[in-house]
Amino acid sequence: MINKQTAKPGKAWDKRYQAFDYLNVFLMIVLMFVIVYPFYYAVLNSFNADLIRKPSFIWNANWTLRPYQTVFGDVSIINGFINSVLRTVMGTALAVVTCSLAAFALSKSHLKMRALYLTIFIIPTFFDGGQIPAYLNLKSLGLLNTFWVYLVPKMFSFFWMTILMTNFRGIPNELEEAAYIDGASTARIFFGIVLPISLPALATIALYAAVSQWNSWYDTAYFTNSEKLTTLSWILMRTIKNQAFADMANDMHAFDNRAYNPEGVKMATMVVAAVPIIMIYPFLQRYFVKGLMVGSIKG
Amino acid sequence: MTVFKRKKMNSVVAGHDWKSQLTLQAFVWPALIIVVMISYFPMYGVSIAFKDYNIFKGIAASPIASNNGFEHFIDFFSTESCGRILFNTVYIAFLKLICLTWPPVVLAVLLNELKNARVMKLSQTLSYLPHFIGWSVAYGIFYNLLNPSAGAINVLLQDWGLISKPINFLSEEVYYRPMIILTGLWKNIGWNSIIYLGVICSIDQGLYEALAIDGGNRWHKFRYITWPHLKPTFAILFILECGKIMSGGDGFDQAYAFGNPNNRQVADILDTYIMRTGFENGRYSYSTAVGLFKSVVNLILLLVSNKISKVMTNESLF
Repeated sequence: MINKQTAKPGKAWDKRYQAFDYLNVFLMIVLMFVIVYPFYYAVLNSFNADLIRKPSFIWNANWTLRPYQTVFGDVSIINGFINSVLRTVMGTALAVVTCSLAAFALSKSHLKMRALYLTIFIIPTFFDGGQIPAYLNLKSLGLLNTFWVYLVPKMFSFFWMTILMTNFRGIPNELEEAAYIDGASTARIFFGIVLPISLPALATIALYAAVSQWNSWYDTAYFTNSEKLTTLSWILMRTIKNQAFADMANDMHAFDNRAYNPEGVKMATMVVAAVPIIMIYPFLQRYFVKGLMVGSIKG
Repeated sequence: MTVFKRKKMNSVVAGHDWKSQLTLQAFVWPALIIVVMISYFPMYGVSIAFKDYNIFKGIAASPIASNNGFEHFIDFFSTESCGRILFNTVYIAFLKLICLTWPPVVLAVLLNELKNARVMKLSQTLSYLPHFIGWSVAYGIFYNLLNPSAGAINVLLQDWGLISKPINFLSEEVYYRPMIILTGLWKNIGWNSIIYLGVICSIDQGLYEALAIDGGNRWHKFRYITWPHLKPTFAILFILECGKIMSGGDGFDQAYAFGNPNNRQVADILDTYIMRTGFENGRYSYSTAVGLFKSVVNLILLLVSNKISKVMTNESLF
């Protein structure tokens, strides 16, 4: 796909490796090391039995699963994990549906009041009411302390809709016209023809929505106050905020609790919070890069 | 002529009857309802910036604030932390504009120069990794590397005898801004290069071949073909970034994660201040006023940078 295309200019240019190419490969290796090593270090040390004495850099001498047993034995973390998965799956589905429906309608120039709709959709991207008015609004809508507070505010994004709209505009008209002449309704054309051939763009939106849902901690922190609704990303944010205070206490009182290994548990929690969302990418990658390209080039 | 023909054809074309129109209208409704509910309703709530909001009275019945409703704005500008917070916000945003906007362009060009397709694809995929995690996980990862007691960097520097005492990167003020910029670079360089790679892919290969025949070298290739193609996208993204200056370059999550009582003097930006005064201190009207000030300045900056870009480079959002 993309790599074949992009590899071409280099090949057309000169097949021989010059000093520049060696330097380039070297630079990439350094960059990739810098990007990947922090992840490797976190994962490695989450399994490190000697973490309290000395962190491992390359490989662990002694391995342990204790931190993970603690994490998976923690009711609050499990609950947060379930909520995170639920909000990610449901929120992504809702966002994809809402955005693609609107994008399809707005991609048709004969849609009545199209300019008005576009104006209504674009204004909030330039001006937003701010956090407190948003909070008071969610309160008056009765969404505070419900699961809906995770879903409703993230159901629509102008940016996501634009990517889909650009994609729908690129579909040849003849395809839809032929179906219409065969007696298919607009809704049928949309669900039966347009959506299936727009998988790359849909995957792009799904990826955006999923990442935004999974990592959102802000709504849990400010719009809910029940442990039942807690999410993994908030648990983690809360932990690191408390850590800052714990560190200060450490500095001041030289307090050190060696019986328990909180660092390992924290690392394990981090790994558990990072792995699922990173795992999504390989599944969507096939579609993803293509989808974003179409959106960016034509947009 | 053909244009007219096409238009005429379109008006009687399949799918233009009232039934189809109604379906299309209905398709817009869910998004419309959400936007009105989530984005437009709060715009009414902004009015509490000019009132002394009282939870029990509600928005409409709350009394107008003193000084013709501008009390909270005056209050903000006369607090002693105001100058520091504005400075922190604008400073970090400018650092981000200077340090974080161009590296993705360079990465995209370098990735594109890689001759081995497999190496290129692997580099691409790996460079996206940090984008998927939130700032809480990212902070955790850097905490492991930077903390003073068992952080990897401190352990190594001490083992090598380069420092005698561990450095507390995470809470000393001098390290805050470099840390924000470097971790920001780490997190987004790969992801932000995607869009530039997309543009590079769309460039007509004939141009490069022509340049090669004319004896151009690699620098010419970038200077006269690749960069002119990337410039419009770069300009648009730069303008959008300018509209985020008062938000510290979209830095709330990062500032929240990396901020602590020790580095608050440099870490505090408008967004963290708004959250603290609003949610933690419960000063709703005051916090809303600061937020309104932020939004309005952001909007002005966006419009001004758009105008400047239009005049200077002929590229603009609208």
